Amino acid sequence: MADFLSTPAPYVLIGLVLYYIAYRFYARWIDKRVWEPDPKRSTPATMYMDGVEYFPVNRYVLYGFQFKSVAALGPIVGPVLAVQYWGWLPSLFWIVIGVIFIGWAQDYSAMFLSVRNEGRSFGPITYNLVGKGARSVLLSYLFIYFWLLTAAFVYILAATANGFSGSFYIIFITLLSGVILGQLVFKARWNIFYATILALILVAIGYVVGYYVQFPATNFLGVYGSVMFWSIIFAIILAIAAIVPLPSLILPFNYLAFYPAIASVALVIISALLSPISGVSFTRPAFVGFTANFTGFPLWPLLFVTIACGAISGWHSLVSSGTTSKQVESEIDALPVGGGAMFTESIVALSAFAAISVISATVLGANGYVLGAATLASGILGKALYNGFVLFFGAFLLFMGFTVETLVIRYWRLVLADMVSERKGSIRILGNKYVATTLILVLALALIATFTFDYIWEYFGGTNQLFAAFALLLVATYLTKVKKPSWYTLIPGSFMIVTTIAAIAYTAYLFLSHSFNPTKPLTALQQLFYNFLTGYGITPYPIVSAFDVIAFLVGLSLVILSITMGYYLFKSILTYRKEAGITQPIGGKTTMAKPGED
Amino acid sequence: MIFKKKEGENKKKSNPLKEFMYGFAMHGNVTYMLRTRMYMEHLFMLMTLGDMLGFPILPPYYSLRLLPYMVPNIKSWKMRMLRERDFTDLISG
Repeated sequence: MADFLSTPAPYVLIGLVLYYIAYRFYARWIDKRVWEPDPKRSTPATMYMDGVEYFPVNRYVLYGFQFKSVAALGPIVGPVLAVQYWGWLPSLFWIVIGVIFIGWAQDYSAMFLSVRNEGRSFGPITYNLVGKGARSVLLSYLFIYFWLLTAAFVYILAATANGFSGSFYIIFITLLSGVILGQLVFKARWNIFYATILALILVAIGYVVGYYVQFPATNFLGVYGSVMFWSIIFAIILAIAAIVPLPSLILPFNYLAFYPAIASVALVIISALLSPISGVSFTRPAFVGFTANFTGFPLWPLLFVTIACGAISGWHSLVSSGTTSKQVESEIDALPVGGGAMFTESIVALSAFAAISVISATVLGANGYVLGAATLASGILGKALYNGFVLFFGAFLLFMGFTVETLVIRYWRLVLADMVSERKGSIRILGNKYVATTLILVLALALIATFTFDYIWEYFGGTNQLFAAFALLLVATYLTKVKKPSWYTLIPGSFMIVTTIAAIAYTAYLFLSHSFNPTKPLTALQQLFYNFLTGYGITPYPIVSAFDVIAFLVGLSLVILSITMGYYLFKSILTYRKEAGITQPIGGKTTMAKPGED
Repeated sequence: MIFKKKEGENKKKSNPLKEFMYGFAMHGNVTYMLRTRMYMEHLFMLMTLGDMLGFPILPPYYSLRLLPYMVPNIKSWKMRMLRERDFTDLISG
């Protein structure tokens, strides 16, 4: 029994059971009592059906689409870092509790909010409910968010390609296969089935090439030089991918990446559940302490931003209200699509938790996931396959990062174009797609170059979680306006906004304090940057100090934007309460029956 | 003789796994293709109806010849053109 409890299986299983219970009872209860879905009420998909943006889509199709849209590197990297910082128990606790009480509520409610508002996305809804100022804050916020996301993801892509020599060939050949597939399907009008078979054979060849051609070797230019080398390579490929039309590269690539991605997720989950049979057990402590290993981060508030996606993620509310809400066939589909996809994404986070918990090596970044997943899978299917699995999961990480990142760069371009569209003069050039793409990648490379990934991840997680807090409070604003109980989003939203502002402020403070005393590196990782500079006879301090100040200003901007947005949202809630004549405590006005009263 | 079909007879049997797979792998691509076609249709509509809107792109003779093909799309085109647009509409993961 003791052996069984020292494997990840029971904890993953408990997580799955709790998800089921939460979905079956709590989520359905909220669904029925708060939003009261009516299958007879027209959704935007049926009311405004145009066959392009608005059209009804089967719930299973939409669930698959929503899951694909929300799942990326977030649910993998967050648990990998958090388990190494604070131990597996607090990480597991936050993943499970986060998704049960906050995560699904945000995804589902954001979708329902959009469905009940004619399929509008977050920009117009914010404008209508809260005002013009809030919408401008949202725009500025997204500008920083996409930048941080790009820096974090490009670093992870580079670290993975460097850590697992040969994995680059897999993604490169898959990209080429995507180009060929695109040409065959869209130009030569091949049957998709035969074109897919051909492209998948090419992808398989990519795996073989990656396995045998392990060149250049890991750290061939030293750790710093190699990661920067791969960062630049990926930046160039991403720039091309983000500029060329989607059907030429990204759409067929995403389609091809789906096959190994779904196989990887399924394999890790099954291997984790079968870990008592394979004998793969925990090698990390359950609880390290309230202060993190390596970085010294305090558990509160930083655990709650380190694990973002998988527990709760603001990105999801954008997706839920962007495309999905316009295609919901019936109101009763909102819960399985929005809530169901979030619970499924959290299962990916559980798989990352299981993977990192069974290896003892200190591997910051996503590479720990690769080693852990390979350990779990080879434990079941044979130790001889370990090296093959390392490459398989390494490629999986590259696929997950690359597919999202190309889209993020496109979104950043849209944000930038929107910001400069009403301005006059040469600043309008920032709206140009070549300039905007180059700018975001250069800015991201500048962040990566300082080798403070662990801090940048906190900023990224913080912005992501703050966005989630905004989404929850926006939903609470709407529910107050229509005189519905809002406590289930108001309480988590308030918790998230306080926690994430504290996390960002704390990280910004660390940058500021380091700028005054940069003789020692900020993190163990940054020591590599120091070594690199001193190796070339350059004194690192002025450069690091300048970066620290910039990073502090970014954090300060985020805090100011967050407080402003929080002010707008709470003010709107109070205004709507006053208008509606609600006198009960905030969030407590309810027309909701108690469980079992109906 | 009129054969009455039973309710739901026309509906294909739902295969959740297949539909999930389609949604995961293909739905985003299909949506993107539809959107691309929408932008092209906008251009076509503008060319055809341009002279009525004050943009004389095609000679009226050709516009009138094409008009019957345009009529079925006018309602949805008008809806799309008049709908407020925001960059957050395009975010789909």
